[in-house]
Amino acid sequence: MLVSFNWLKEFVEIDQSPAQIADVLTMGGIEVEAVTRVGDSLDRVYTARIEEISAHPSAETLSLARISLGDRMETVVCGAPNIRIGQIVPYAAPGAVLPSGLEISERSIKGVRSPGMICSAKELDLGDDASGVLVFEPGTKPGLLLTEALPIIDDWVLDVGITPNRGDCLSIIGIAREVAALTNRPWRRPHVRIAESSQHIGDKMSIEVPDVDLCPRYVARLVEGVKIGPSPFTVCLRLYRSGMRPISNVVDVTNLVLMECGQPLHAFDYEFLQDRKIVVRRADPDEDFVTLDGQERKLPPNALTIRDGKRAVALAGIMGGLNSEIHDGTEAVLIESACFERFGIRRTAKALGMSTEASYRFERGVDPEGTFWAADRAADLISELAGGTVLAGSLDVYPNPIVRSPVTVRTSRVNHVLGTSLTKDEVVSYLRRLSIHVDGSDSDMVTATPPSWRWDLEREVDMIEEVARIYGFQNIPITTPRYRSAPDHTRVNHNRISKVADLMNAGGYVEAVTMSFVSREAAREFCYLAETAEELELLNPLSEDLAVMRTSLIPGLLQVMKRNVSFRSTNLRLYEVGKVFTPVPDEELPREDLILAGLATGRRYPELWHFNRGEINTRGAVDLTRDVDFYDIKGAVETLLDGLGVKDAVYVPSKAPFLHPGKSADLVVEGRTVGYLGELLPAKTREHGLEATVQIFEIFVEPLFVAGCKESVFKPIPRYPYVERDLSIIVEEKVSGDTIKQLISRLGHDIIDSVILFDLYRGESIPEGFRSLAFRIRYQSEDRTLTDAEVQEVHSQIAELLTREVGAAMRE
Amino acid sequence: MEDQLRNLRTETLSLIGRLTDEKAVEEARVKVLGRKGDLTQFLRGLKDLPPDRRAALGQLANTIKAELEEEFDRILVEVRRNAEMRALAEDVVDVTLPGRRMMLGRRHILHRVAQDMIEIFRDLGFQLAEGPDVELDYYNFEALNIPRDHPARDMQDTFYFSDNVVLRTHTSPVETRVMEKQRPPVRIICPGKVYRRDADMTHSPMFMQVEGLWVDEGISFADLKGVLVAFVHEYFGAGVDLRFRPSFFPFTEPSAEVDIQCVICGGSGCRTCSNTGWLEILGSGMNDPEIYRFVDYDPERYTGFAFGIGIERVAMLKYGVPDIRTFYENDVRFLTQL
Ligand SMILES: [Zn+2]
Repeated sequence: MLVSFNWLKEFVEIDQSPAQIADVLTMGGIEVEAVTRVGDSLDRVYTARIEEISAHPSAETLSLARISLGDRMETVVCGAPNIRIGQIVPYAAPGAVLPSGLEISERSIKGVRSPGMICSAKELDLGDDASGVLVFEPGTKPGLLLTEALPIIDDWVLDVGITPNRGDCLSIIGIAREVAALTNRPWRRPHVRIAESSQHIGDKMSIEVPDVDLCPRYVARLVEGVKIGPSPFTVCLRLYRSGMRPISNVVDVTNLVLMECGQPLHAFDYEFLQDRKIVVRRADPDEDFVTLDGQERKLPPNALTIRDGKRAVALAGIMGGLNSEIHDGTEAVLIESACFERFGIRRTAKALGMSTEASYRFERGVDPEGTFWAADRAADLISELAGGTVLAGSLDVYPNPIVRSPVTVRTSRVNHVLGTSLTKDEVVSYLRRLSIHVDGSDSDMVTATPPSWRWDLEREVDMIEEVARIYGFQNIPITTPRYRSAPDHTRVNHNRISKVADLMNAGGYVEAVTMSFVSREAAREFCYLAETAEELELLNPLSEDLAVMRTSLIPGLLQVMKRNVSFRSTNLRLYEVGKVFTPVPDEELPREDLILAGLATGRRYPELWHFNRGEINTRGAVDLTRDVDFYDIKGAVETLLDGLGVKDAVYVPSKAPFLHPGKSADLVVEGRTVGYLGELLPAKTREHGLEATVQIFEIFVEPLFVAGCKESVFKPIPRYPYVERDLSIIVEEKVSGDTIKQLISRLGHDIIDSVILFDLYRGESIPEGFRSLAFRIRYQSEDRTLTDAEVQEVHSQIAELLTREVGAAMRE
Repeated sequence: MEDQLRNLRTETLSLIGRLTDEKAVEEARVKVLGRKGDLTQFLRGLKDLPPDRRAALGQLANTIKAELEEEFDRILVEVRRNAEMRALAEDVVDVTLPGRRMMLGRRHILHRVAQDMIEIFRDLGFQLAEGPDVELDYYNFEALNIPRDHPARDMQDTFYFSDNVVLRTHTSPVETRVMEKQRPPVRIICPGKVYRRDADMTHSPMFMQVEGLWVDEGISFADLKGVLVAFVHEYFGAGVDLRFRPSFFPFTEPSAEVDIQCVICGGSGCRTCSNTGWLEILGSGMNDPEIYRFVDYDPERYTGFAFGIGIERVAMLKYGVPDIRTFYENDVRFLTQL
């Protein structure tokens, strides 16, 4: 909300600067987001009276205005259609710099010298209107600096943010009350005295409020004989500085009073009110209504309407109707000043997707005692600005006056909650500064009754907050709470996730964080580990790309890959640890499982100069240009499981539809499939607009923690030397590595310490459909040095077994 | 003859002093101490002398022989060492070239920031608590004193799955879930992802929060200030000033926003702090007695406080990241930069 400092000063005495007041308000809970000086950059702009108007000799749309500046005259070229002799207008002399930064100089316009110009409101930042020159009220003195002639122009605007509990602060007077309380000064509200006609409003109008639950109070006043026209400059400027647009004098008055005291008003054209009556009741079922913005709306159930004898004329507290709007020919105005029930207005506004200055305030609560004053104030201002006479009396339907309940406040409790040591007198004085009525002779306890505009003070703790605000949060001491320390059992799980991250980082994988929602297609595409194929759908997603909760982290990582590849980062190792969501039948909330996903693509090795000349490792040259493949991603998974202490892991060919059928595996831990790994199906890669091959994996984290948390037991370190023997065999392709390992372990020799595959070869000298595998078998005993004969015996048994069971041929 | 012997010693010692390579040392040793060496010849010639002179000269000659042998041994070691040093001096690598590095990944900056905060709060006595991202309206709103139709719901634009199920808009529901199961004292921090229907430079539809809750007998607003001052000084530095100003949250009363002195300009005013010198970093307040009603705590007996910090906001301030979306674009150049 924008607050004019000049306007504010009408209601409370202020010694401080605008910046100081901004600080006082902010530290009092009314956050001032910006303090802006306005109207100050009008150094060489003067009031001038138009004395003569003549045609421009060479341009039809321009005219020459001879203007008086009191002691001298000037003739300037003017293009505005609205200039008339006798108007007082703003004149920017050469050297003036307008708020837009435009510097005025004497220049020739179509052959005529123009020393300066007459300005529009927009050019001077005094309004939105750029259609013609700004015209001041007739009595304004010409020849003065604008800011001298109209001191209201030089001002500061405070942009304040009002929290939802403080509807009472949504007006200039509301802010003035806060300033008064925080600076310990009185505030005042203008006294209204209306010259009423002899006729009573009751003779011309009646009000019925059948749905009083939604409208506790309804006040109306009637003004006859008005003449609709533009508002004077000062009113327009106030509205402009409040962020509102002037419309016409009558409507402007309702907005001005709204800004002044926070009471939304509505002005009806009295002539349009059929049967000369107002009925406040709920809409008919499925009723249609055209609001004054021209939109036809289907009214929701329980929407409160303002009606005449025949039909709805306004959507109560939200917007008026097109059928009773003030127009240029309006002569009699019925002013509505009502107090509508907060939640009713909110429900209807929400259902219709509307938010107006009025609904915003009604939702937050208006002052039920302020409605009467606001109606008077508006009637008075309308008769002042638009002429006409105010009919005697008001119609005021207020069958059940709203009473604020007194609240018991204990000084001891105030100090208990705040950690302060305030006296009862201090507590009382702080509350009184907020117009809270305080009573009570007890040494500790008082009763505090909030003023009518405070809806938010219902409990002792609400009063404690008020005391704290006025006392100043900065004055509350700083203490350290006492506590008994206890072991933190929660860190275990959290630390495990850190460990997963550490292990992935150590493998060169970089952590990404992607959105928890994905497109429906993406959720379906990678839904493999989930138990159901359902996904959890948002009712109001931001876009179709973020429509359902993810069932896999892979879509997110693919997107990350795509983005990076587009910036030519093509060697990527990424991981993410995050939740996936699975709906559970007959449960309101889904399952949320923590999952680890990884993605690798591009080169296996970083750019290393060391290998440039083909450095040799045990098998030959390191091929630096090699891309990552299945065994890279499997290595990452194995290293992770090793780091987490998971020993029982089996890899079986995967049936995941989005993986390469020959280069993919499911990860089975303790008999349960907990993840998958492999190469993304080339067709999928292409679908995602990618070219390189992509290795991915995804593993539920929780089962790994369960499997990994088994305590390890010390095994003595062997003290006798080991013996290694190699075994090189040729077997059919279909004989898996695991099969061979299992066969060897089935022999049950306890001197076989480990079996490591150190070479795999296909090609020359190996028949089609076969491959050569070379194992290094380590023999080790805990209690003796093994003899050659003993090792040879077992080694031969292994060879025989493999020949017998899988048809292995020994290689030399 | 004695002079002859002393001359031989002097000459040999001077020769040894000039030797620089292993081969020359061996040759010199043979020339003096070898089978036909000068000193060996001299010793042989002694047998022709009368016994009294023979004994005296023999003793001198043997002393000199021992001395020279020791000198030859010493110079041999020295020469060898020098030769090795010369060879090493020629075997040079360019130490400025990169080594063979392991590839190293990195945790996401938001997780690192959260982790740092969690550790500070742990040291202040808090335990960790977690809860679901998809949450019942009851826990996200109702039990936090935000009934339906309350304008406070406008403060947070919410993602819905149904009338009753939402994406949590803060991690406060975790606090209610913990209080339902545990009697005071309760001291927890709840880190996690939260969601609001909003997307621009400073808003992401998904973001991260750390919230904290402390409930016990005799906890006051002064304690709230104490804990948060300790946190800010630990995280941002002991010299960073902070201020508490009144605000509104439906689940706290009194409520306070906490501003820290601008970390960019040090409080003199800049664009980041809108020239105020202050940066809003967290929301806090004393637990509203209303929320105890939902978990059956006695509001007369137990007081406490809660607070919430946006991880992105802190990371943006600490590292000068201007756009929140940067965190979720996951450009590896960004992920590996901070
Ligand atoms: Zn700053």
